[in-house]
Amino acid sequence: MIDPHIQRIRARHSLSREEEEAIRAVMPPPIKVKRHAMAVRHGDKLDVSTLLISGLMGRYKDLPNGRRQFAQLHVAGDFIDLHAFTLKRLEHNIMALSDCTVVTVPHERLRTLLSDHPRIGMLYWFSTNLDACINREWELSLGQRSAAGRVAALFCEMHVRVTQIGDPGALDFPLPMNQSELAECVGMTPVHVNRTLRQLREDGIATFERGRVTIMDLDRLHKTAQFDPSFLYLDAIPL
Amino acid sequence: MQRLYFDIHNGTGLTEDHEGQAMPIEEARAFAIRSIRSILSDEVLHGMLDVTGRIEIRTGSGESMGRVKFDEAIEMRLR
Repeated sequence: MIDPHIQRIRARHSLSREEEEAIRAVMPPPIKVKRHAMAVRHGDKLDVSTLLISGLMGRYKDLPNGRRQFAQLHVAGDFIDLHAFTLKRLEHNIMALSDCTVVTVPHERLRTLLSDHPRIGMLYWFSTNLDACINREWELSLGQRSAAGRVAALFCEMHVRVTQIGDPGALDFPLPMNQSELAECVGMTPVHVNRTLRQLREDGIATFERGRVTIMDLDRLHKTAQFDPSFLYLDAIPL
Repeated sequence: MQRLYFDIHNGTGLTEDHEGQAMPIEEARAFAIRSIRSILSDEVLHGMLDVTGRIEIRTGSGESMGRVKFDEAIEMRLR
């Protein structure tokens, strides 16, 4: 059931059979989360961390006037709130953007796992650091990229992350969200995103329709985004 | 709540809204204005300002619910 998580670790680091068994042993049975349900709510006291097994989730903050900004997306195999292991509450919300499957791992079990297997602690520390790398890349987009650059950068990042397990290099991949949610990722209005998508489509670069991205010209998509994948640490140093 | 669609008509042609937004009609105009400002601000960053476009607001069945011209969304001072 948690195969995507194991695959995502192994995409960057080695994982022994014993370590894999130890991770599997702490995982409770999976739970379904409906599209648009809240997985973690701002301020709630947390004694579990949630591992996403299938679907797409988004981490966001909002203003009292209802305006919302996503800060990161999570794909199958990601812990969505491993940082809650130390923070114990989050100052942001995490919602399901599609129907999802998760397992919620009690912090007590994680504590035992990490004390028995310190190297797994290193691997999980790496994953929270990687979350921060992605957040910084989104800051760069929001602060410096043009409208088309922001959308293109998100497609480039998600292309790598979604196809990393299963189907590396596929030019067509699911990104099950609507244009309004995409707009809230890139800090634009839905109408502006719609126009930007039209531009990317007419330029023969990429399309986003019914929750799928289809890349027509990967090279030009990368150029539009000025994409540098080094923030994803695909060539991580062994831990 | 009804779903409203915001089609952009401007120099590059029609950008039809296939997705729409569930919102009360009284919020539609402010939403269109915010959208126009977002589009124009990105254009200005690229050294261009084309205010000849408009957003047509409609229902799913095509009934017109109003129009906001780009130049109504900003106050321009040319001298």
